[in-house]
Amino acid sequence: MLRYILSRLIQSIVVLLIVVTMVFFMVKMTPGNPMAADKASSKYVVAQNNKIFGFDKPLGQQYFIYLGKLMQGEMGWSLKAEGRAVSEIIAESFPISLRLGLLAIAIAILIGTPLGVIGAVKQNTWADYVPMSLAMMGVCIPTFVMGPFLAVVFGLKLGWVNVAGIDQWSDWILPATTMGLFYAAYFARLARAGMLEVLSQDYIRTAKAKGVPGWRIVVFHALRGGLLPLLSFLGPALAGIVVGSFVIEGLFGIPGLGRHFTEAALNKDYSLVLGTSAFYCALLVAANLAVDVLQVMLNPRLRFAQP
Amino acid sequence: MGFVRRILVGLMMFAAMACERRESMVTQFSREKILLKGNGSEPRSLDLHLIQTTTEHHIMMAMFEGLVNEDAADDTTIHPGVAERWESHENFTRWKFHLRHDAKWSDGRPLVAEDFVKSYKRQLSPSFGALYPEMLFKLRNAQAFNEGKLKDFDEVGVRALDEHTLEMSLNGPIPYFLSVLLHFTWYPVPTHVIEKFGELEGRFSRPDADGKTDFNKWTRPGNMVSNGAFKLKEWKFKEYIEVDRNPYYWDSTHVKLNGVRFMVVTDVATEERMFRTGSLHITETLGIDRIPHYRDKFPQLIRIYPYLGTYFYRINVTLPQFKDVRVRQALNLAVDRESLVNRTLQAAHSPAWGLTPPMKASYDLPRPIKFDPVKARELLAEAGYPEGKGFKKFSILVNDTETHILIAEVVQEMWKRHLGLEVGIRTESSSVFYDTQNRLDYDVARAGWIADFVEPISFLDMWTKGNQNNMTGWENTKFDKLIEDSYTATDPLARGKLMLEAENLFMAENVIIPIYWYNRQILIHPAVKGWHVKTLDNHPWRDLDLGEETLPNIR
Repeated sequence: MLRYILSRLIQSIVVLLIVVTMVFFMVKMTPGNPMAADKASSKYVVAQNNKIFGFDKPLGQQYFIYLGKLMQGEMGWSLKAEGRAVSEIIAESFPISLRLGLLAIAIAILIGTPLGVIGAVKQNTWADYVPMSLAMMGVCIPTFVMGPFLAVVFGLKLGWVNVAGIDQWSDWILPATTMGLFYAAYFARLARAGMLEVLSQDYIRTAKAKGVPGWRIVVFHALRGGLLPLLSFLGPALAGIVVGSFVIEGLFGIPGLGRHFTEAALNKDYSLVLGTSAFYCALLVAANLAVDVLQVMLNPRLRFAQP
Repeated sequence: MGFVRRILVGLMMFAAMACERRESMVTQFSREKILLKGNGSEPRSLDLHLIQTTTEHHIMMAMFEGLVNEDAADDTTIHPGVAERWESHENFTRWKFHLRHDAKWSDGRPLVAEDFVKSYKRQLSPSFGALYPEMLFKLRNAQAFNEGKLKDFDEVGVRALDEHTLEMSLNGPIPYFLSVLLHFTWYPVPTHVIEKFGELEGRFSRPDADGKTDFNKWTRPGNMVSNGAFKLKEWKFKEYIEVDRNPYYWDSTHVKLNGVRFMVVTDVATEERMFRTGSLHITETLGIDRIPHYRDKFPQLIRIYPYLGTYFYRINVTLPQFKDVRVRQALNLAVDRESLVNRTLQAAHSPAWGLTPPMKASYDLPRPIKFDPVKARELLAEAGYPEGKGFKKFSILVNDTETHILIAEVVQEMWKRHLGLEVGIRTESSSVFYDTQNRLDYDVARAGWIADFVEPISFLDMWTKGNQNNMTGWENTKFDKLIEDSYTATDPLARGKLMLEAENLFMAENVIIPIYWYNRQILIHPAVKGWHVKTLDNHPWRDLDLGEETLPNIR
């Protein structure tokens, strides 16, 4: 197991290096530049600024300078929020996105999983159709529709919560629910599919034949296997969720990482694009690794398959 | 079951608590006399020399004060600021400002004439790379120093005669120099604080023990010092910037507000919801689709007022198909601005009949443009393209914002209908869009221009040869001469005539297609007092106040 984890770690570093390299050259090669603005700056002012940020050097040299600094843990400064270090921006905004993401995941698991399990157990009854149709809708309704809808109902009409900001604990409810509902729908469908597959297995039939009560079969025999597909989805999904959502953060005025990630790419904020991409990549790799390890621990069949 | 019951009880408690509508933020903040202002996106910086836009200008106006001050209601009235009086010599080319003795920085240190000199030096230093040094080029030799051609700052036209006297020598006579001085680029920066945290004429801190440098952090809360009615209290990145009273401000007793919180709100619909639930006193803008609702039901909350700017299309005159002025004129005449503005844009703006928006009585605006599809067709036929036949397909370049695309679609349809032209629309994200326009890699491109100060020259000098904001490839020696002459004309009437002539010449060339003159559309809470319409939308926060009025139910 230790050897497995170690080899995966080495792979991860290689992946990270490839991603950083690709992103570095891609952002530099896409059209546009960080100095482009409504009011054009004169050529020599642009040149002055390029010199300050080292953009006047050849691209290859810039790459190695960047890589060298990255090795020392330095990610440079944002070009659009002058004077803010990329590491500082990530350190400030990631906890916010993480909190929102974890809340959303909690909501998604609490709503989605039971619905999926019930749907599988009561397959082809109303308890299956109604939640699954809703789940289909949940997958289809984009967050930029769901978000304003919830904000208008619970913020404006009922006046229970604020429509934007994160000043009070209640401010987290709307964004987390908007995000959570979307994933709840996914979870429900995955849980249902996984459970259905497991419930048709021989060992379940054996359990039934032995007279084990239905709820015991579901909880103690089927759940562990049935929720495995959910777990493999959860890994990458978790990484995606906790780095924040551009749409939800914009809608609810939340200063999270998701906005930086997207806005940096749109604004040609080279160092911030690189920093956030590298961070996201590291997180994704780590989450996948964690899920793989967890899966091996949960699924005995995989355990034997390991070298 | 105990567990389920506990959850149910918890939910009921939450619902009960939530049902009781909490006191809104505006009510609470009105009582504390702190204004909640929607302010668009996160400012690029709080360093006066690293910013360019109005987003930052509005925050800077609260924290800093220049030599002179804005009036709360009138665009042309100018009040003493750091300077208590001034005189001009040699036909408005040399100005002497007498600074007030009680002017202080927010750390209590006296503000002296040398502070201005050092500020301007920092802004013009090539090693610093300030983003908007052009504003200072009115000072003698400033441009040469900024370009690195001149090394000795003593030759630049600004110096401190003594602690309280500042002298500025200009390139030519500028009778309206005082209104130029209202721009944030002319405010002083606390050089003593900047130097404490790093280099004055660079952007970095001094190297630490390990030889590492960081960005100069003088603009952070706790570090930042300013000289205006307010000082920085809190800066929550991408959330808000809050300023509170500066006790050392010379006119502190006349400041009514205790603070202003500038909120970062990038989504127009979110901002409107925030206003409706009482989280904002003043919004930055209002979505066009919401204008009719407020105009009909809550006219007391909406303000639509002229904003000194023009929305227009540039034509790339370097392309062979746009070389013929008749073609460009045909494009101009075939745009039905009334219909576009009133129907598509809900009369949020005003149709533009020329380049310079109406600004002052002394400038009798030329209005050479009208909607004349018949003449447009004739001109296009004369140019060799009857019914648009044979004219190469071209596209309108816009940045990918809903309204820009919408307007382009309407213009596309008008050119198709009235001229028979095949026009495409090309969208790009902003940072690419501006770059593309700069490289003249377009056919027709959307543009907007907001004046820096209330003078026609603010719209005209950008069309001179080599100006970085020209971006059309158009140049004309006669036009350049007229602008050049206007710089030295001291008589306002004579200057007005020169500029009028220049604008007429420019518009006859049809290099641009004016679409509309900007208006601002905002929502304003009834508790806000002392807010007046200003054509540059710069409201001196020190003159605003908050009363006890509450919002009608607009949920």
